[in-house]
Amino acid sequence: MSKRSIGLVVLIASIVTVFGFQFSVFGTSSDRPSLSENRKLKTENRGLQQPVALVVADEGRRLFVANRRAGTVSAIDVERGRVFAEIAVGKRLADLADGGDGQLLAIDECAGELAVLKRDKDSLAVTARLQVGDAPVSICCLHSSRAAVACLWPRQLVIVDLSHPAKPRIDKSISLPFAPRCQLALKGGANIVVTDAFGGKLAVVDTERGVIESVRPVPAHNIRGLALSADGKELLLTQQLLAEEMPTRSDDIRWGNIITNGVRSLSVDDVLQPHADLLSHSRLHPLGTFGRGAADPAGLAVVGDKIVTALAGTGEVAFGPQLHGDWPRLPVGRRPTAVAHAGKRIFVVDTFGDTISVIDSNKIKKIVEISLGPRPELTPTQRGELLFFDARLSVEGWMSCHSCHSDGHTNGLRSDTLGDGSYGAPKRVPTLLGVGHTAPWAWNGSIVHLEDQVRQSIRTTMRGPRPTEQQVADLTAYLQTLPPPPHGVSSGEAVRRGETVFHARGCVRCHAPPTYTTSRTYEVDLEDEMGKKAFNPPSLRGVSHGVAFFHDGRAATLGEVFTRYRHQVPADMTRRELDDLLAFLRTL
Amino acid sequence: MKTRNLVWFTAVILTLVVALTSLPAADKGSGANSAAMAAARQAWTITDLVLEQDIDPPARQQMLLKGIKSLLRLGKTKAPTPEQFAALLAAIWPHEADRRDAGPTDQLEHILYNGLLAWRSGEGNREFYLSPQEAKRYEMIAGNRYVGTGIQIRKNDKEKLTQIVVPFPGGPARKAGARPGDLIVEVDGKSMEGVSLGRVVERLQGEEGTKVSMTVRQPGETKTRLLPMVRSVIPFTSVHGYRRTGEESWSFSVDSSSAIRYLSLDEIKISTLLELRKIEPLLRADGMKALVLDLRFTRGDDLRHAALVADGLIDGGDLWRVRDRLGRTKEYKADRDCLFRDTPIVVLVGEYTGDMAAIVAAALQDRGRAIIVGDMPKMELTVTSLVHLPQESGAVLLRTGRVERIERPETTKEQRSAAAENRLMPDHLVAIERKNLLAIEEWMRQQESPEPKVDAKPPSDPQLDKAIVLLREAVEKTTKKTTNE
Repeated sequence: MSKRSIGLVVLIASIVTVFGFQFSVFGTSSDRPSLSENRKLKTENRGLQQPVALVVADEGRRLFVANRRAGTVSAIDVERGRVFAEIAVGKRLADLADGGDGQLLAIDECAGELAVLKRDKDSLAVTARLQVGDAPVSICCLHSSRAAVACLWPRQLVIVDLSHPAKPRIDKSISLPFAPRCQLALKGGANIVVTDAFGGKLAVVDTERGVIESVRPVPAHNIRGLALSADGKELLLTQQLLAEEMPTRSDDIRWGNIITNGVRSLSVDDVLQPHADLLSHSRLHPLGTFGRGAADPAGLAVVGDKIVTALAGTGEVAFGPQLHGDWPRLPVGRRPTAVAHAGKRIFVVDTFGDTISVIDSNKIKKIVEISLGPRPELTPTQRGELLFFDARLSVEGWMSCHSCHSDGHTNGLRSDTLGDGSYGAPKRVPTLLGVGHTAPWAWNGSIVHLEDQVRQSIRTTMRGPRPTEQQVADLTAYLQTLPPPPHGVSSGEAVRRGETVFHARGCVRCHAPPTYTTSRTYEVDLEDEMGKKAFNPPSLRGVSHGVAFFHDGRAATLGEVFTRYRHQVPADMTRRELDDLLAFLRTL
Repeated sequence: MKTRNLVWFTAVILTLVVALTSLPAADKGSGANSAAMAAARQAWTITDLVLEQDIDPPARQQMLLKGIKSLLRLGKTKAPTPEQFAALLAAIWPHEADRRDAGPTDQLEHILYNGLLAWRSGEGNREFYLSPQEAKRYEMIAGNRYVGTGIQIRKNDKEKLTQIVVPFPGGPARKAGARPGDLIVEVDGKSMEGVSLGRVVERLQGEEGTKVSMTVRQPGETKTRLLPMVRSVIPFTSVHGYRRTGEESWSFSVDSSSAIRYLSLDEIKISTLLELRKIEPLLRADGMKALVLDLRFTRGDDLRHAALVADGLIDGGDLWRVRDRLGRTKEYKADRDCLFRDTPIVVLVGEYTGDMAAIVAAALQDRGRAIIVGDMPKMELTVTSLVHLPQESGAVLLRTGRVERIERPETTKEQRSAAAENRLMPDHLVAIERKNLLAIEEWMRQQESPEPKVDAKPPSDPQLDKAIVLLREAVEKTTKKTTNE
């Protein structure tokens, strides 16, 4: 074949690709797209694509990236530094994994779906889909054609059988005692480590038997990255640590006394031994130094003897471990979240920059930055989202809003801020999911405008520079879009009876539907360390997703609120009434 | 007596009279008033007589003050109202013309406010009131973000110049080439000859990012050097090794034959936990098997930072409890993270161990985390808090709580009684001569210099020797155990 005719074939092939895509990408769910396509998806105000996960293929020559907001998977030719295909997969992709045999596994957080994709040289296509449950947030491949999907709000780990890729099926579902996020397979996938999406719990699951072998706490929150050390003996995790009793003074933040950002190592043997003391061989490598915080460590990769972690809050990647001083860093964008590697090449996903940075790990130098698409004009809400995860809002980059309000929810810990007017009485970090509808704000209900709360938190908790009015407006706009956590299961006799109890026993006086709060403050036999007794009732929407209760988190479970602390429980309330009430509350 | 004082104290008494006569009649009636009036007249006569006839009379104000103090000590007298107190102050406050050599107003205020807080005895010459500038400076130092040129200075009387004792490593002066012993000849081109230490400090101080230059020379030399620098934040390290080997490097070894490493804490402060966290991998890489933590000269003020350090060193459990003025207690606890995990620690304490270091050592003893060696420290164990006055008008240092130990059950009888009395009884009491102790302190001070003497020999140190013996035993035991396993 002459050179000219080869060129012609390539041209025809690319035209076919373009048109093929035009017809397939926006098919209905019954008519799923299955063809390759080019990367020109909907162009009208699409916002950021928000890449969140990547799979490295063909020894690092190709990358496949899941885009959260765009709901697409992009295929990248690394040598050419460009996207060669992009396919619509779902509504909001949360993770992507290499299923082997040219298959990719993507999960759709919004649709609750697992999508199986087939990749070949120039194309990508969805070949099968499976409903896995609400809010799947991560996927982890196990051996013998299985994968584990972590579902956030339902607190489930779903094991999927992929031995017939065209017909994936759910093998088993395992209930977890916490909302899961990160996962890592151990022993070739016979076991899996699952970590808490908000707090510091870590579960080890036997995936074959479908049994939880252990659930143990680690002093941590926001665990966002898991990896094995080069020798396979250590489990590494990126995390944060909050000193609950320390007042959020600027100097203490700057010296790392409030938020510690770091990489923890745990012994894999300890992790696998259900009764071992998980922390007896644990070590925490703190990141950041005076004048330079390292907020929100996220994705993690072990490259030779190096540990590489994305610092999502400061837009950098850090390279450790380091004997002397802080880990060296490289700026890579706005919010790097995922890290992968092939040989000495490191690939970093910048979620808010819509780019993939390719880095030489020896020289700690960026080789190329690959764009996933044109940079769109952002709406105030979209700008607010960027700010929410941006540690530049805090003093010297030690924390972002997300550092405590994990993904808008809560890390479940307490913090001694000036939010209640004084230091000395640490308060539970409230969820911000649904915050737009629960005026007034602050535990003492003293803040009437959400903007003022935003300003106050930036200035007196994060101790950042004075925000501009636009920043405040954007953040407020973003917060107002956060929906409350999902309702629990709302059927059953007990729920109906519980609702009656809720009304009959006067709970509604303070917790009035639909937001299940009211604007006043009440004295309900609670007192903080500074002698304050009047609190604005927290909203009960999504209360079953709470991880600690009352102003100081003294109740560890919703049940304890009534059984241990007798919160407004009348003397004549029966055990059954209480059980019914709890059943009702869990549906809110 | 000078005329001015006479005028002043006449005014005091007039005011007292005015104040007393203005008391509401309902308050014990006019009987109390007239008794006070008569007493005042008689007191005045007595002081007159003392001034006229005593061979070495005190000033009248001293006598009046003593008399009033004696009355107040009775406890039956009433506190004056704010208005009465204001009237009294107005009366004794010097007139504008009289104030020329009495110092600026703020100085008088300073004396008054510190006088108000002087009932805190046994705490040396410490001042408990801080002016707005002082509060700012206090917070700057407490925050370990001191802005300046980074030098420690003293007066060299022979040369009539200010001399640099230590240009701190990493500070602007050191970076510009300042050396220990340098005499400061000029600051920004102005001669500093005969200028007081305070004035030199004033000239060197300034905002972060501003320029300043020093002309210096070594003693006995004529050649001067111009050192231009930019004032910057100089974080002072609080964790040191045994011997400085370079500008930024330390030897942590005290005993070349074993893997015992040494750290001394100059202070327990805001940065100490982070410093310890950063130094741990270095010591591990250095082959550390056991650690001496020298707290014999460790200062510190802030209980929260002591809690962070104790928490950092202890693997879970209670640290101590703090009781406030209302008797409410708050327990401090350690989380499960633990620095130098599995490493035996000996903590050295002594007479000069500060309160915060002593409470950290006590917690390490109570949790069985470290063996305590040395002399019994003096422990005051109060929580000192900087409380700001309204409208940024300064701050006062107040005692806001008392620390109590939470003893472990298996302590010895002596330790239990020491713990009950909030004292710290070392596990191994090792006495040391004062001369020897001061030599050790001097050794530590020398290590602060960026140019330590390489061949200097450390002073003899029986407490450190004991620590080494104990740690060798501990290491041997662990090695045997591991071998047996």
